[in-house]
Amino acid sequence: MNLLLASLTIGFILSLLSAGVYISFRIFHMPDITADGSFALGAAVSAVLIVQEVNPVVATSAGFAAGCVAGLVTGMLHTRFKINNLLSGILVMTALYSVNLHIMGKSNVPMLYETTLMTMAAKLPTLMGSEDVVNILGWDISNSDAATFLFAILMIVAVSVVLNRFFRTHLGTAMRATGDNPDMIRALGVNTGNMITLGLCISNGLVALSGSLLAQYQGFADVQMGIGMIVLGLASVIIGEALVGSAGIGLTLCGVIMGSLLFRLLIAIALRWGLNPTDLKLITAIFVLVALIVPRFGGKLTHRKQRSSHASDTKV
Amino acid sequence: MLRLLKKLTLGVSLIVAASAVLLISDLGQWKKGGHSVPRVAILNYATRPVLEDGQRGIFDAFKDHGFINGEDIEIKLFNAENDLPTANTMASAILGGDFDLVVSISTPCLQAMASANRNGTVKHIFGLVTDPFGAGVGISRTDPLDHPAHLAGIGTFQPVKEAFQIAREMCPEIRKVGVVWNPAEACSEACTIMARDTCKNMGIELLEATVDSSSGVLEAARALTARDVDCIWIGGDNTVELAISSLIKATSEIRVPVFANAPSSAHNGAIFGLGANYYEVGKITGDLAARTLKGLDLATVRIENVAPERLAINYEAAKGLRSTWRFTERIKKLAESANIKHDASASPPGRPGRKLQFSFVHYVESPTSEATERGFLQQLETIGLRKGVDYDIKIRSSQRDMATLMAIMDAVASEKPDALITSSTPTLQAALKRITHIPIIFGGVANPVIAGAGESYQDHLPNTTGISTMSAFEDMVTLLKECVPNAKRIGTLFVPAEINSVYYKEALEKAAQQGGLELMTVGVSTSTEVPDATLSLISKGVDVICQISDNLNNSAFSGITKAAEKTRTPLFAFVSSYAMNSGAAVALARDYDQGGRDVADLLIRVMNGESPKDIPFSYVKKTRLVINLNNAATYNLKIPAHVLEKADTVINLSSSP
Repeated sequence: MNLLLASLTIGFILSLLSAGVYISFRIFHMPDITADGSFALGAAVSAVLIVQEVNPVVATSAGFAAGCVAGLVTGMLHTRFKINNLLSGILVMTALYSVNLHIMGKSNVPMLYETTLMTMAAKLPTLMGSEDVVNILGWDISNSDAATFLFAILMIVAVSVVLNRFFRTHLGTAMRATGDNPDMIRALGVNTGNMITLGLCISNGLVALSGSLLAQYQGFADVQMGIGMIVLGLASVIIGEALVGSAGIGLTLCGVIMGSLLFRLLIAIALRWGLNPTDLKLITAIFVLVALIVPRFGGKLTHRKQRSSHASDTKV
Repeated sequence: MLRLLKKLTLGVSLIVAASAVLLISDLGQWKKGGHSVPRVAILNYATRPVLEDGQRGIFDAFKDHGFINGEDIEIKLFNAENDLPTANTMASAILGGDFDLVVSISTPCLQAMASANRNGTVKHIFGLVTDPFGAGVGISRTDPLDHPAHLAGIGTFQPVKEAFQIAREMCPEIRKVGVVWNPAEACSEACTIMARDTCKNMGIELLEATVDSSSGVLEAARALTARDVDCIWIGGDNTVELAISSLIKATSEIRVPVFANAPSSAHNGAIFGLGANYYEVGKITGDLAARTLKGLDLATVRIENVAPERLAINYEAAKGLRSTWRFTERIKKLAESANIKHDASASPPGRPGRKLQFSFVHYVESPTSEATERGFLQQLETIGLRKGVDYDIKIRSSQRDMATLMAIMDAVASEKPDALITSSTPTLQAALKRITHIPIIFGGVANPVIAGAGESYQDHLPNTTGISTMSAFEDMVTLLKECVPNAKRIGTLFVPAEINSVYYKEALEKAAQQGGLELMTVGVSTSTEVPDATLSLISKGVDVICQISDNLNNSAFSGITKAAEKTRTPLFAFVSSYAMNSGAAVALARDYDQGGRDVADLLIRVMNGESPKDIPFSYVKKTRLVINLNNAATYNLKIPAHVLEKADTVINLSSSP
């Protein structure tokens, strides 16, 4: 149960990353590698501020803002200086590695005994007079674990609601249209460059927020924690899309969150079953593969059913 | 709304199913309840030699305490494979897994485990951590007893100060020391900070250059050598350790040595390496863990810095330096027996009257061709030819591109140097095609006759001569029979697509037949097949694996090692480094370094007026016998005393002080 709770919590935290990747990758059709750098950037900024006893809410927001700045730079490089989108991402990501080192001053900032958003959330139930261990369906769970879990869910729900709302405003619609049909939207008098830049800002802000929360959850920020994050995000996005199929923005966001959750759960199962540690990555890859194939089968089945019912209709 | 729910069903149900699977696996655990034997989890961060040494030590310590895995104790191994989120998940898995004790290896694992285990659900022992006090897990730097009651372990700070002291002892006049390091590595940073202090106290100026990947090391090192450092030091830095050969390359240009805080560096060209013996560290960690299982109260454990030292020295690296570096008796006594023996092969100096022009061509940057180049340049220096004064040399590499190789040869032909030196079979073949009037002297070629340089070793092309690095098969068979008297069958992998490999296989077959042994072979074509192929070779009932040297098997040698170790089949090899750094028990090598030196000797003869036509091709003068007693012990192989006496290098790491 502990493991389930922990992997769901991490899954929720990382689904912010997936949401960020979804914006750049699916809405703007731009593989934005900046994510690898901005993930660690968010963690670094928040960690340094938290160690200096800045309010964790401020520190987390600062992490988000730093990610936005990183996205802004990538966007400017791409739209103002016409640098290839992949390359501008690579440039910013590479630069961020040094920047993160500068921010942290060293490679690893521990904050195990500092007050973070996560420890604040963990303390809440005790303050509210709950017992240290709560029993849910016969499982003993420490109230702090449950609280962090609920907090993670809250964060995600809040962010997704805001995102969903945003993408339905005029600005948000224009942004989505920029990805879908730039010529049309330009004809309507919208500056596509600005749209892309703003989109990358939001995307990297979310990625940095995810990094910031993960650092607070795990109790330390590390300069190398961003490496490979873009791949993880992409995997979740693609699993999520496979799950819900082509759908509106809100539904797809749900799918992306579910993808991220599934990804972490599958890794947890692999761990729990005590599979050979050497095979971990292989098993992860196989799980992703299965997750991609299964919905397709499901889709075929429903398709066939529809067709057969259609056939019977004509008979009658 | 219904449509919406329908679309979400699949995802939600999958998540619920996965969660249920997790819960059910937990349930089984729950119902089993009180387990009869203690359960221990080991959390390791990555598959790296150092960490694995430590892990081995931990297992051995449990064994020493009478805990046999699977009988008296249940040890479960977790390895995060270099992934932080995974390490966190594993830490939670350990918490929920009903373990009595967890042993974490490395700093990230200490942090992840300590973070998950903040409430002290399981007892936690840590090891292989450079600086536990700086890890932020609540351990006080000043009071060794001030730490969480469920958490204890040992810190292992690299003996940085001691390394600098040894450097000073060897060469009292050092003033400027350079260091290349990667700020992203916490351990490296801690070492560098320590070094700054040490240098300040010793009156040494520390020049720093930072890198973020192995590929930047050469440039960073050149930046240091340009500032005229007396030597370069490597702290516990994995990035630089990986690129140590580029560091050595830069320092050899200004003839200064490299010293390091890792014993393995001495085998790779550093003058000495002083480091922690991580196997011992693992053993101490495991000892603490075992005592905890027996009832030791962790709150009473003092957390201290423990660094069992291991010193390896390299006599070769002390040669030809601009200032003298002397191994004092004390240092020699401290050092392990992995010394590379002094090799005093002097050859007659023959200094020509004018400045000579040489061309040196590689096919690809590989350890063997680099060794040839290194030996060649060293020997020219030993003879007394000074680069830039007595000769100029242009070193080129085609970087594994045949077309480029041809272009290089054309360039050489038009430059008309005094001699062309090649370091591999393809370069020799290309040279033979394009160059007719310049003497070609080759090294690193297994069989020059097959390569087309002549009809036989005596009767060959007029402008060509050189050194063949063909393995000493007859000697190997004799040696093998001395070490494993009851061996009937030996085996090797070979690559049907590599001409040298096939040729070597046949030569070994012939030598084995003469020695009354049967040779079994398995062909391989890609490096991924090597581990399975080795196992299938072993299943053919071979008593010894005697692996010939070819490009594919050289790059996949660790695959052979693993399979051999698993089945305890002794492994013999023809490349010295496989006994030094890899799993071979015995290596009988025609050394490429020595081959390079022999090439230089031939070059001098040609420059002194002898015609290449009259110099027959010859084998590398010296065959090196390297024996690794640690590996031999793994295979339960007893090396007879008279064989040990013959050895040029004996490696025995366990006998360190």
